[in-house]
Amino acid sequence: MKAAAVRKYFQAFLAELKRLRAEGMDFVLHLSYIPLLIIILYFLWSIVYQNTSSVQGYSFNEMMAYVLVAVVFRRLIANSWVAHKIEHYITDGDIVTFLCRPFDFKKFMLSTRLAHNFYFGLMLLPVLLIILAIFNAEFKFLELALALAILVAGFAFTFLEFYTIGLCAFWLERIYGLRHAFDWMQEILSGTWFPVTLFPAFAQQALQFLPFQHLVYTPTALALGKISLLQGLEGLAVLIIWVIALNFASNWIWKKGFRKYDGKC
Amino acid sequence: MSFTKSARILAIGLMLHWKRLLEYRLNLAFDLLLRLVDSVTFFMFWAVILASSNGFAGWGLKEFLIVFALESYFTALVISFAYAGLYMYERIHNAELDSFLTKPAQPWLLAIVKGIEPSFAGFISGTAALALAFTQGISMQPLALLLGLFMVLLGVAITALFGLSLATLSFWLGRMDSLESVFESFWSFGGKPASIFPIGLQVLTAFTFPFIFIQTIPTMAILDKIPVQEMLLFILAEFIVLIAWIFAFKFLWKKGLRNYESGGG
Repeated sequence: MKAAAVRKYFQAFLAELKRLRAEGMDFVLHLSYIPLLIIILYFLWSIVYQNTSSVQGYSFNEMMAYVLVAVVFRRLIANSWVAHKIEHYITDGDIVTFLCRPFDFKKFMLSTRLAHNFYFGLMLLPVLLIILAIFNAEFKFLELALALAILVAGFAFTFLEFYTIGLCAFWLERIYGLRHAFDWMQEILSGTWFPVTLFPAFAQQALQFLPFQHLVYTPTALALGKISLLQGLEGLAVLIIWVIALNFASNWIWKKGFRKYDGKC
Repeated sequence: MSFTKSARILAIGLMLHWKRLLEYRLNLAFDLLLRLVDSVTFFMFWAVILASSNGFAGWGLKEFLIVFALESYFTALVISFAYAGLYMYERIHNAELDSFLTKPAQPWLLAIVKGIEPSFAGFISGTAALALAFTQGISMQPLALLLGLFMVLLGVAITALFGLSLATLSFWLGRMDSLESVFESFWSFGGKPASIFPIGLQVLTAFTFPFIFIQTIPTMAILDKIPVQEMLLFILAEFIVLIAWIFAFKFLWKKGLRNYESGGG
């Protein structure tokens, strides 16, 4: 991509950041589920640890640190809103207006979505630091750097995943079911509620071939020192392969979808 | 406006949306897929939690099967009707409300009717869970089951009013995309016994997504852990919450309309 094009999408990124700042209160409310989820998880795991001091090598403090960091990481890579937005653009016919503008629809969506998650990241940073302090969790620099790289790849994966699901609205009237099915499945398979090592062995083996566990479990466990750097690199490689495949798939679906689109569905 | 007229409008709206659903039958398949994913993730989650703990506050798979059935019914109705009320915030912000204000019916009712999204696959998964419980020889109290389903209906009304009341905030605050996040954040309490949470949280959920009324109490009564008479007390409490919301919504709607400027709240 040429420098001028990069500048163009960077401007879209900045414009979205400005909009988010202007709607600060609305934006903060988007995060309202996080404190509730933290409370729920605290009470849930408190019951589990009433009769045991360790679950699969995780003490209560370690488990709480894991699930809380996982919730924050999951938020940083959340992109299901992209599908919702695209669905509306397609069903309302607004998507045709993007064709008249001097930019690529996918890159524009990516720029605005990056702004969202970047802003979320800034706001969630203090939450992460508080979690570290409360549950005595320690982050190591190298592991944390790799975890961040995995999160970036995870963000790219979920963006392309939900972008592709959103494009399915060219054929389907509503994609609510499809979007939420993927979102919910991803939530549990990515290890947001608990480490994937708690799954039965056969499920863990099946998960190895899928990208989901590398979205949340791998960066979280890596940052908390529960898995090695090599395992982290493996996770990153798996995600990169999926990102490349999804990128091709989404371009193909965009072309096919637009051919049958009549502008108003 | 009379109750009969409101019910007739709602029935007509439902019929039209049902026809649309049949026209776009493929969405029905995705709705079923969503319920299937929901079932798998629900039982996967609890299988892991129960395997990790030696008894979860007296709850086991038997209890969670009933919880799942009731939650499925609740989810089907909330997705079908309650979201329509919540999405009124968009109609307020986009000044779409104008067209409803000029019609001889309650504008909020018209907004709900327009936004209905029939999503009844939850009835299939809920009934399947009850059938499974029956075939597994789990003894269930029929009267408690009927009352439990009634409590689900009341719970849906509470949640719908909660959504409608949240939507009225748009009269004062303008664009509020985060309302959906705020609304859904309370959904995280679902599928978990309310008894594991402190009383303050139980009261909070009773006024939002009343899982204590629609899951915890009915499950205990259906499995004969509490007498049906005790259930009646909770139905009374649920009625009180419902009436409180009716008054709160009417108040917010009246005040909000005065503040409505037609061009964006």
